[in-house]
Amino acid sequence: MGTKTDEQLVAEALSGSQSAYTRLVERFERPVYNLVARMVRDRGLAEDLAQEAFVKAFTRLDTFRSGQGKFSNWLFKIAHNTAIDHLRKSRLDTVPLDKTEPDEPDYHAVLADAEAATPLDRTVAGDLGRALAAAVDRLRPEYREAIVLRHQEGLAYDEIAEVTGMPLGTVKTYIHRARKELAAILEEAGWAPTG
Amino acid sequence: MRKDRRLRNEMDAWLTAEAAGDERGAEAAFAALVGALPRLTPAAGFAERVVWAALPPTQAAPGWLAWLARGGLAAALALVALATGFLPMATRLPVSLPSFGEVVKSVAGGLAWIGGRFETGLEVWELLGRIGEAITVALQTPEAQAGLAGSAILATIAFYTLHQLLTFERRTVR
Repeated sequence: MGTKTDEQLVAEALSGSQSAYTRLVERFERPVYNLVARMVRDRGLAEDLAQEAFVKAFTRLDTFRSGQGKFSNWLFKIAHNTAIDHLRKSRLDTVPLDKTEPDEPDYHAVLADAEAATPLDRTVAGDLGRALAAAVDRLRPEYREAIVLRHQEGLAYDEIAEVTGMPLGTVKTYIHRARKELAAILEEAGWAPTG
Repeated sequence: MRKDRRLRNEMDAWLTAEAAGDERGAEAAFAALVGALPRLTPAAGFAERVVWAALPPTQAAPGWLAWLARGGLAAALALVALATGFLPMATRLPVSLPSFGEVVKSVAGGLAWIGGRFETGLEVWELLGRIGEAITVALQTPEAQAGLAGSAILATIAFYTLHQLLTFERRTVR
């Protein structure tokens, strides 16, 4: 009588079990919220978007096919799309029409000044965790998403490619670049290896 | 402090590997560092809010509400059954209740009143019918029919002209 798998909970939820719905949300609320929050860099907004993602997922729960992949990846994909839609919409709202960028995942026009403290994390002298989080916030959203999915959620490269809709090579490139950029940001901020 | 110490160690290992050009070492240390970063968590009650938003109101309603509704319905039915079953006893109470015959008489009187109103309505309808018939007969003369046709044509021309006048400004402004 161990813990039920995601697929078992999905099947129960589709049969009308509210407790199964609740358990699925409780199981994935933190990963989904973490991913969305890292992408949009705003806690309040991330809650709204994460909730929207869960509602979308449960509305189309009957379209999930366990043979086609993990439920977690399917859910991450919906969360990714929800966050990306918001970022694109924000970009359309803020960028003048005569300066429309080519249709590429470049969100620099959307992001606030990288030097300014974000609503998500603020650098506090001596607080390394916050300093690292703030440095991560300065990366492009797609870089942040890639390293969160890879190193916090433990997804394989091909799973990240499936979730984000990017080619496998692009995923690896983004993670590599994220690492290099983060090292440069920390070096610029005066962080160097001790000893 | 311990968490910071761990992060510090991970970061040192990573930056050292980067500086040394050790790609594998840097990748592994970087993975450990990012993995050690705290995950962001939503506010308390997030799961409940999601479930409420995701499920239809009937499914998301608490169980006690459904029991309350069922209980109320059962109580109402019981009261009706009680009133019906004990009605003959109620007639023995020192309360002036109408007899069955009086009730039937009242209902019959009400129906008769309604029938009377229907009859009046039918008379009015019949009168209107006769007026209409008279008008129809009068209009069957050639003069009347010509007058009607002419009026219809004039009315059509007048409405068309009015429409053109009203839309003229809109068309010229554009």
